[in-house]
Amino acid sequence: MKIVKRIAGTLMLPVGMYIIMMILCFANGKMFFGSLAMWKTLSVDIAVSITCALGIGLQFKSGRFDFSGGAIMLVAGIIAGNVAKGAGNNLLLMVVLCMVCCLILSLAVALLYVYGRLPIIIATIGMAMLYEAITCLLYNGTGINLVSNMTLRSISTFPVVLIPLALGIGIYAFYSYATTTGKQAVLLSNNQQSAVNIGINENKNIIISYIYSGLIFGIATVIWLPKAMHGASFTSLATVGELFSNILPVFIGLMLVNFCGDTIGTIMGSITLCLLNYGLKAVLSNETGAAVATVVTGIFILALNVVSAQGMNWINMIKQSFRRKES
Amino acid sequence: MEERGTDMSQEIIFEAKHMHKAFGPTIALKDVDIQIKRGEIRGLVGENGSGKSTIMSIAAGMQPATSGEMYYKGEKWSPKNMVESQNQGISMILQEANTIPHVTVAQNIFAGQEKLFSKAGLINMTAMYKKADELLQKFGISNIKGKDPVGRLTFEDRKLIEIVRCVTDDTQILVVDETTTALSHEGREILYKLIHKMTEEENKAVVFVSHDMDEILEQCNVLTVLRDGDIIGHLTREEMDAPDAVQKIRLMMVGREIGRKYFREDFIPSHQEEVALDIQNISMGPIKDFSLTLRKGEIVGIGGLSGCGMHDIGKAAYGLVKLDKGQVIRNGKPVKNCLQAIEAGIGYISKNRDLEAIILDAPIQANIVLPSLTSLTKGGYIRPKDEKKLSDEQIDAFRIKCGSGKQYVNTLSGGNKQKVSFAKWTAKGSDVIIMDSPTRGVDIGVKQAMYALIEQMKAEGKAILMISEELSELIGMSDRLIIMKDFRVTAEMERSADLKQTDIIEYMI
Amino acid sequence: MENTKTKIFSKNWFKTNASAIAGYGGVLFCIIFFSIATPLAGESIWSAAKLSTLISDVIVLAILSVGAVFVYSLGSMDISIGKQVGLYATIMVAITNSTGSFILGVLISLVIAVFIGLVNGATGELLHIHSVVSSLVFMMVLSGISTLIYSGMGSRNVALKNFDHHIFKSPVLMVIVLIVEVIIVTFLFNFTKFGKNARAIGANPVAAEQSGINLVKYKMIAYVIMGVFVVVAAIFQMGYTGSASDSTGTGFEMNVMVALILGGMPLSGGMKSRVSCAVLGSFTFSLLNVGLPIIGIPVNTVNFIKAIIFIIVVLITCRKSRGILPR
Repeated sequence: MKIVKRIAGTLMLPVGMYIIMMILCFANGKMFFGSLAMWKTLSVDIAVSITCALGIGLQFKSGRFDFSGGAIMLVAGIIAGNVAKGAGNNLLLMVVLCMVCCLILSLAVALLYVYGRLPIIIATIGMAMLYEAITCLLYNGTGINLVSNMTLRSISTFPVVLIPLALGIGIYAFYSYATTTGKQAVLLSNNQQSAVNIGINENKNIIISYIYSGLIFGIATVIWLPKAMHGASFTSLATVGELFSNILPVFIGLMLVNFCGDTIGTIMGSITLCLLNYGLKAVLSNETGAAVATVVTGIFILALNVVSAQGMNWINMIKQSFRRKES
Repeated sequence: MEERGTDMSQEIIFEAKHMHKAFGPTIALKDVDIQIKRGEIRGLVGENGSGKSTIMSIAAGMQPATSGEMYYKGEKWSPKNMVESQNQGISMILQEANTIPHVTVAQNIFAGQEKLFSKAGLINMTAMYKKADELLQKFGISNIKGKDPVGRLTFEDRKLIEIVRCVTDDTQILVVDETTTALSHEGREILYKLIHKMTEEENKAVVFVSHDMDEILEQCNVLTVLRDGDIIGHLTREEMDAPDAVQKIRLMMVGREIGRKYFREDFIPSHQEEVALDIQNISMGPIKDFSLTLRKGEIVGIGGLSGCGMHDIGKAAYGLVKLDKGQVIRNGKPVKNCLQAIEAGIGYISKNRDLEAIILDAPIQANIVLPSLTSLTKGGYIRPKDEKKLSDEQIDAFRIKCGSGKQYVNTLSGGNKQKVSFAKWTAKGSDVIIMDSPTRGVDIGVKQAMYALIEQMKAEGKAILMISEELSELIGMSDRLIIMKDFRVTAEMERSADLKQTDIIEYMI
Repeated sequence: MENTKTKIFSKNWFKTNASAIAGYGGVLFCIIFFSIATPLAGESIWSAAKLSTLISDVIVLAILSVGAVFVYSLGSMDISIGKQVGLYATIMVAITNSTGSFILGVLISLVIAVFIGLVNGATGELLHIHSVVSSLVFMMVLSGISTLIYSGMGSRNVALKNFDHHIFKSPVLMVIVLIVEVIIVTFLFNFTKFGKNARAIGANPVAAEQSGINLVKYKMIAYVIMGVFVVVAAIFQMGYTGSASDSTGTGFEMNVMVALILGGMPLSGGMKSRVSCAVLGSFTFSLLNVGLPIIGIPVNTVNFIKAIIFIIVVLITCRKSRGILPR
C-alpha cells in the first residue's frame, strides 16, 4: 500500500476528531483548545488510555476477552499506593510494587486459565470477582487516594509521564513484532488446532503473553493511580465497566492494522478518544460532557465494527453498480 | 503377520511391536505389529475406526501409544510431538485443513520452527521469506511466494503448502493421511511425483492412508488392510493387480460378505413425467447460465473435481445463495431462500456434514424434528409426544444404532450421523432431496445400506440431486449424469451398463 | 459405536450431567448449610423476616436471569441489561410523577425494550458483527442518556410521589410473579419452536439455518422476550425502593452472568441450556448474599467468599479435560 495512503489512513481519525472538537470548542468560546496547556493535561489521560488499551489489546488480538484487567489494576494500585505512602512517599517503591503486583496477579489469571482449562471469559470473570473482593478486605476497604500526594503524583504529570508511556508502548511493540511468542500467538489465534498439532506449546505461549500484558498493566497502574481517588470495589464487577471504556482504541488499533500496525493504531485510537472526552467536557459540563462522550463512543464502536465487517461488501457493491452503469 | 523381505534395499526403516492405543473405553489399536521398508509406497486401508490413521499418527508424534514399542532406523523411537518427529525424519500430512489463516505462506511453512530464524527471541522475517521461496521452487510450485498471505490461496494450494511444510531433505518416511481428496488435479500430480521420487530415487518410504480404492491400487506397491484395530492382511503388487482385488479388499475391510449388490442393479434410466425441480438459467459468481430439470423419481448426479462449481449448484438449488440471474422453480413458484425451499418440500444435506448438515451438540431427536417444528406446532405448542413419535419412526426406519432419541449425535459413528441427516428430510416428507457427498467418510456396509435407501426413495417418487466426487457412486446410482469443469457443464450422459470412469474423466480435468 | 444407557452415579453420568449437578448441588448445599448454620448464629434464614429479605434480594435478579435464558441459549449475552433496568425505572418514576399514570410509564418502557431487543437481535446477523458489540453500544448509549436525564432534572435520583408502591414490596406478589414468569418462559422455551430454535442457533447456527431457521427472526424474538422481563424486573426494582437514580441497575448484567453460571448454564448456549439454571443460580447467589451476613461474616468478606465459590463451581462444571484450551 502506498505510503501516502498509509499515513492518511493512520492520521484520519485523530486529526478528524481534533478538527471537529476544535470547531465545537471555538464555537462555544473555549479558545484554549489546541493549546500547549491542553496537551499537557491531556497527555496523562492519553497515557492511561494507551497503556490500558495495549494491555487489553494484547490478549484481545489473540481472541481472549480478558475481564480481569481493571481488577488487577485496582488491587495492585491499592497495595502499591498504601505501602509507598507509608514508607515515606517512596515513588520508586510504588512503581516497583505496581509492576510486581500486576505481574503476579496476571500470572494467576493465566494459570487458572491454562491449568483450570476454563473458558477464558469465565476464568477472567472469576478472577475479577476475586480480586475485587480482595480490595474490600485490604486496608479495611478504604481504597487509595493519592491526589494530594505531590511526590507520588509527580509520575502522573507531563513530561515525566512520557517515560512510563514509552516503556509501555515499547513492551507491546517488542512482544508483537520481535518475539517468537508474539508470532506464535498469531498462529494460535488463527487456527488453534493446527498450531497445537504442529507442536506449538500453547500453555507456555499463553503464560508468557500474560507476563507481557501484566507488565503493561503495571505501567498503566503507575500512571492511573495518582490521578484520582480509587475506592474499593463493593459492587460486583464494577471494574469491568471502567476498563472497557478503553476498548474503543483496541478496536481502532485492529482496524488500522493494515495502515500502520496495531501498536500505532491503538495510540491513534487513544488520542481520538481522549480528544473526544476533553472537547465534550470542556464545552458541556464535566458530567454532561462525559455522558455525551460515552454515547458518542458507543456509536463510534458500532460504526467501526459495521464498517470493518461490511466495508468490503459495500465497496464491492459500489463497484458493481458502476459496472452496471457502464454496461 | 509379517512380510517376506527380499531385496537388500528393502531394509526395514520403521517397525512397531504390540502397539496398543485406547481412548478411555474405546480401543483404537489392539495389538498391532507393522514393518515398513525403504522404497515402499505402503497403502493402509480400512473403515472408520479401523486404526489406520491412529497407528501412523502415533508414529509421527501426534499422540502417544498406550503401550507398545516403536523402532525407527534401528533405534527406539518415541517422539514427543510432531515437530520433533518431523525433524527426525517422519512427517505426516493430516486430513483436516492444517494451514493457519491470516498469516503468510512462509509463516505456515516454518510454523513451530521460528527458532531457525531467531536469535535471543528476535525474529528475522526476511530470512524466513527467502528460505520459503527456495523450498517452493524445489517442489516445482511456481505460482506461490513466501510472502503471500495464505488467505489468497485456494483450498488446494493450501494443502500443497502443508506438504512443503512437512517434507524436508531429512524426511525419511512421509505419511499421507487422506490428503488427496483435498487436492486439485495438479496438486495430486505434484504429490504423486514427489512420492515416486522419494521411494524410487531416494530410497525413502511413503505410507498412504486412504479411503480411495482406485488411487491406492494405482499408486501403492504394497497394501495393508486393517479392521477394528487389527491388521487383517497384506497384499503384494501382484495380488493388487488381480481382477478380484477390489472384492477381496472389501471383504477384508468389512469382515463379512456384504453381498454382491452395492449400487443399483438396473441399467435403465427412468423417471416420471412430472417436473420436481426446475433450475432455469442461473448465474452466480463464476457460474453462468446453468439449467437443469429434475423429474419425480429421477436421480440426477453431478460430478467433477472439487472446485468445478457443483457444490455451489447444490446450495443454489436450495436457496442458500443469492442468484445473480435466473431462478429455481418448484411447483410453479420460485425458491428464493431455504425457508421457502423447505416449505416447498426440498431438503438439503451439506457436504460438510458435521458442521452444516447436523448439530453435533444436540440429541438425535432434536436434529430429526428440526425442519418439521412448524408443522408439529398444534394450538400454539409442540407436544413432546408428537416429537418423540416422529423421531422414533425415523430411528426405526433407518435403523440408527442408539440407546434412545435423547442420545447426543456426537456419540454416533459416521454412518449413523449420516442417517440422521437423511432422517431430517424423510421426517419432513420432502420430495426433492439435494445431497452433497452423501457417503463421504462412511463405511462400506453403511454405504451399501444408503444406496439401497436412495434407490427406495427413487421408487417412492422422490427426486434426488446427487452431487459427489466419487465417480463410481455417480455411475452406479444416477439416471442421468452431468459433468462439470471450471463452472461449466462439459458432458451429460444417460445411465448405461457401458458407462466407464475412463469415459468421463476426460470431461472433468 | 453403540451407546448403552449410562448408569446413574457412574463416572460417565457425572461427566455428562456435571452442570446440572452443580446447579442443583449448589442450591441444595446452600439450603442445608444455612438451615443449620443460621439459627445457631442468631436468626434462622427461614424466619419470616429473613425470608422476606431473601425474596426481595433475589427477585430482580431472578426475573432478569430467567428472561436472559433465551438470549444466553443463543450463545450471546446482553451487557446492556443493567442500564436498561435503570432507564426503565427512571422512566416509570418520572412518568408516574408527571402524569399520574403508572401504566403509561410501563408501556413506554415496553416499547423501548422491544426496540432494543429487535436491534440487538437483528444487528448481529444483518451487519455481521458480534452480537455482544451491539449490546455494549446500547450500554454506553443508555448510560450517557441516563446521566443526561438526571442532570437535566437537576438531581441524583427521583422518587415516587403520590403513588402507593406498597404492593411491590410484598414477598407474596414477588413469588407469584416469579412463578408465573418461570411457567411462561419454560413453556416458550421447551414447548414452542421459539425456544427450540434459539437453542439450535446457539448449538450450530449454520446447521440451524440450513434446517430452515430464520436466524434474524428468532434471534430478535429471543431478545424481545428477554426485554419484556427486563421491564418487569425494573418494576420491582423501582417498586421496592420507590425511587430510581443514575446508578440504578449498574452491574446487574454481571450478576445475571454469575447467577446463570452458578446455575450451570453453558455460556455458549445450545441444547444444554435450561430455565432451571436461572432459578437455581439466582437463589444460590442470594442465599449467599443474605445468609453469610447472618452467620457473622463481615460485609467485606462476603464478596470474597462468593468469588471463591464461583471459581470452585466453574472448575467443577466448565473444565475441559482433553484437547486444546477452550475459547
